[in-house]
Amino acid sequence: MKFAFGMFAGVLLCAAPLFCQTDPVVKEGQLDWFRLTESRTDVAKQLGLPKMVAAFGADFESWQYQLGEVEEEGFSHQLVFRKSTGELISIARNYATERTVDEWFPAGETVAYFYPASEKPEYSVRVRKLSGDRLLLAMGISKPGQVTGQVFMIRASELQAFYPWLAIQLTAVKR
Amino acid sequence: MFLRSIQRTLVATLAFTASLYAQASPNVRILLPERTRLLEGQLVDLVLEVRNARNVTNLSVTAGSVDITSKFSAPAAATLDCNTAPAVVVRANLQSFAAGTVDLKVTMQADGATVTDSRSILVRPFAITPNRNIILFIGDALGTAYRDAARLVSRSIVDDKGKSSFRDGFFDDLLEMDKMPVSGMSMTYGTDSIVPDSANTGTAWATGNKSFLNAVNVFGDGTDCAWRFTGLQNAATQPTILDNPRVENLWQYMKRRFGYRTGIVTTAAVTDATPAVEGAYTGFRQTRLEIARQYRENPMLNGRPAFDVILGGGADPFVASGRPDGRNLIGEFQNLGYRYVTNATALKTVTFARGLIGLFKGSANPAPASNGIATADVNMDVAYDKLGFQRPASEPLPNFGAYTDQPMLDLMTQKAIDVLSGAHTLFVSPQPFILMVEAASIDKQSHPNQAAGQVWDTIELDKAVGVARSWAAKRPTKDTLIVVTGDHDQSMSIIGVSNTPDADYFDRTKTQKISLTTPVGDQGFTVYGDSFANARAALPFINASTDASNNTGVAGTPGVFKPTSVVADPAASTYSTYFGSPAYKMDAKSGYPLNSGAGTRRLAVGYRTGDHTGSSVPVTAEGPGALLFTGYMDQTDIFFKMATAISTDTTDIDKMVDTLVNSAGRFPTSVGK
Repeated sequence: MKFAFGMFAGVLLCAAPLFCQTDPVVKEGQLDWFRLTESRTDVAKQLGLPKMVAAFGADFESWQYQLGEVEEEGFSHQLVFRKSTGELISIARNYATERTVDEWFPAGETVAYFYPASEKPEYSVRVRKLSGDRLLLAMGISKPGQVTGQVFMIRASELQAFYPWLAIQLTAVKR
Repeated sequence: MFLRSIQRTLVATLAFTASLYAQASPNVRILLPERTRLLEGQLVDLVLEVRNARNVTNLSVTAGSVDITSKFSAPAAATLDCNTAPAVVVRANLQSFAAGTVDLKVTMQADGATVTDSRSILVRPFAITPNRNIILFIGDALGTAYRDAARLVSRSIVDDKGKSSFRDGFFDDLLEMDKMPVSGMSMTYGTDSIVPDSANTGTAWATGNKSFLNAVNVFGDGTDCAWRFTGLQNAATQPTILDNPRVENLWQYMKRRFGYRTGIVTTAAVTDATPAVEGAYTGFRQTRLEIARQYRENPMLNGRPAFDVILGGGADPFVASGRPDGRNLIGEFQNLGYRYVTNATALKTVTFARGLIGLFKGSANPAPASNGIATADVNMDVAYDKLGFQRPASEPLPNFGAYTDQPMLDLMTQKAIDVLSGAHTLFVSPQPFILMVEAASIDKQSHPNQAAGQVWDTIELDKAVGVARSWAAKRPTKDTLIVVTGDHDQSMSIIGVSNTPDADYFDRTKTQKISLTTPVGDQGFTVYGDSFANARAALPFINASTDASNNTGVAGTPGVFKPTSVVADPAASTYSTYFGSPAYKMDAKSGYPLNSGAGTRRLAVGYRTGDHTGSSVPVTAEGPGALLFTGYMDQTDIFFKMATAISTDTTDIDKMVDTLVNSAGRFPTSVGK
């Protein structure tokens, strides 16, 4: 079930376009979203205060938001910071209604990866490498035109710890 | 000089930090909570996490005086806490203990260093009392205000002569759940938060142990960090979602050890969190494909099905097109002798079945969701819509799709009891059963603040409770414990009554806008005429006037919303905190109160957050062992109290309850009870 939980914050933020960066946008051909260099304060300015903050793992902190339409008891945005340094490591953008994301994944810059392998894949991800050690992932899809419920951005250098199978495949491709 | 000093300090600090990290000592942890409680023979995974070590040797694990080292498999390298420090995991799956206090002690050599850990587990005895049944009713979010709302709506009935069944503050007749003789309160805190969800609260009453948000019958572990808070929650590529230590629930325990028949009935998708805790084990409640698979081949039952009866919504994870593995789980159940029904008409024809699976709602074209973990979350439609009542202006219109013949919860409950108890058969000694019945949309309607949907679902639950009470009362022996509780509370509270006329309450065209200017932009909200009966969390229910008397003396605080449009009778659409009682007419055909018609005076409710709360929830009980449920308790106690009711001679405490209930005036009785 979907509902506009957090409508208050969503309306509040999206009413001010300058501050509304809940989703990636394409400006003059360039993807504009998080740089993963943002501090906690920068994120709070951009998305407002999170609904939930949770410490986890050895040194991580998660900020969870419910902005706009979200799944029941789900989150629209999930950000991970390294607790000790405040570095922003990743951001998941979850969509209650699945959507196409082709505009953020131009064909020439996007490669599909398959788990466990391209033969009989159980899962697929479209990956775009961005500047600044960033990877943009469209989860669960392999081709343009397909719809997804999640877009994920992560520092490439942190991928091994959080999503090892993809890190291994990316490394193999590099070689 | 000063700068050089700072530099030196910085270098020294960094070097110290690096050396700490490099030289972190090996340690071992038993992944059981400090207050682990089990039943004799209840299965649990014993998992040891060894940090800062690559090699583990000389493992020794004792449970009291018993050496259980041989139960553990070979150590396996692991990544824990999402860091690069070496780590090892050692497992002994599905272990159990004899009754008593079990001191679990672990010793090993980790990279040459001796490391140890210990836990004390309280294991309660369990010796079956023959042929006792349990029916557990879970109102999802059934806090005290929710029970009160159902009572105030369904028991404030005005008859043709104008006489109300709620007069002078007394009800002629209380709810079915109110009439149960024993009451208590249950605290619902999880291991990681005071405001829980349906998964970890379900884990508490289903297994007797607490866990973390979204966990289904498992404890936390060191591999959770990769998925739990990142959003990377797909089981296909994150198998560690399914590696958490499992603890057996009462449904599998009773079936595995004593041949109990087991069932779940819900108005949600049957793979939703509350039904899942009776039949599955996973770190994340949304792994519905896996939950459905475990219903068919349960890990505690050597691959046998978890249930004899499954009734609810959410067909998608059971059909081949809804699963990446292409398995047709419904067909597999049918091959095992289960009868499959998809609508109320077919359900009514069921009398006896070896097993029964009824899935009354699904997607038109089920397809595996792109997140790899779940197909659509297709819950059954709410009672209010099934009854064909008109929704208030701000609530969504019904959307039955192809599923227009869905059963009410009382019919589902009756059929589940019939099949589980072996009614309509010549069985001389049918097996006893344990059944969970959930009214799921009390919570699901409360999240988006849909009062009509929510209140009528609570009334629907109460009618199902009535079915069970009536069935149990007719039994030749008093052999069925009935428990009614909520898994957690929600934010609705009763704020008064509203006399909004139907013309305003149902009119979807008559709207007003509320605008607020904030430092970062303007907000706009649409308010419908039903706002007097349903104050939303996100909508400021403000006093738009400067007349402080509208807000009992304080201007600008939440209170009366004063419409700007001209109405024929200015006093018509108002809301009263301090004066008046609800008044509803009864729909003779359905037996439910109508929410429309001349003279209707509606209950007014408000939602502060539209989310769960950390408040305790009421518990009521009837039948053998009911007195165990008196007083304030932890939610995990419900598990042990249910187990005790079917494993202990409760004659003495049952007599006390009988004496209180049937005292012929010696002890006072509540009006309407």
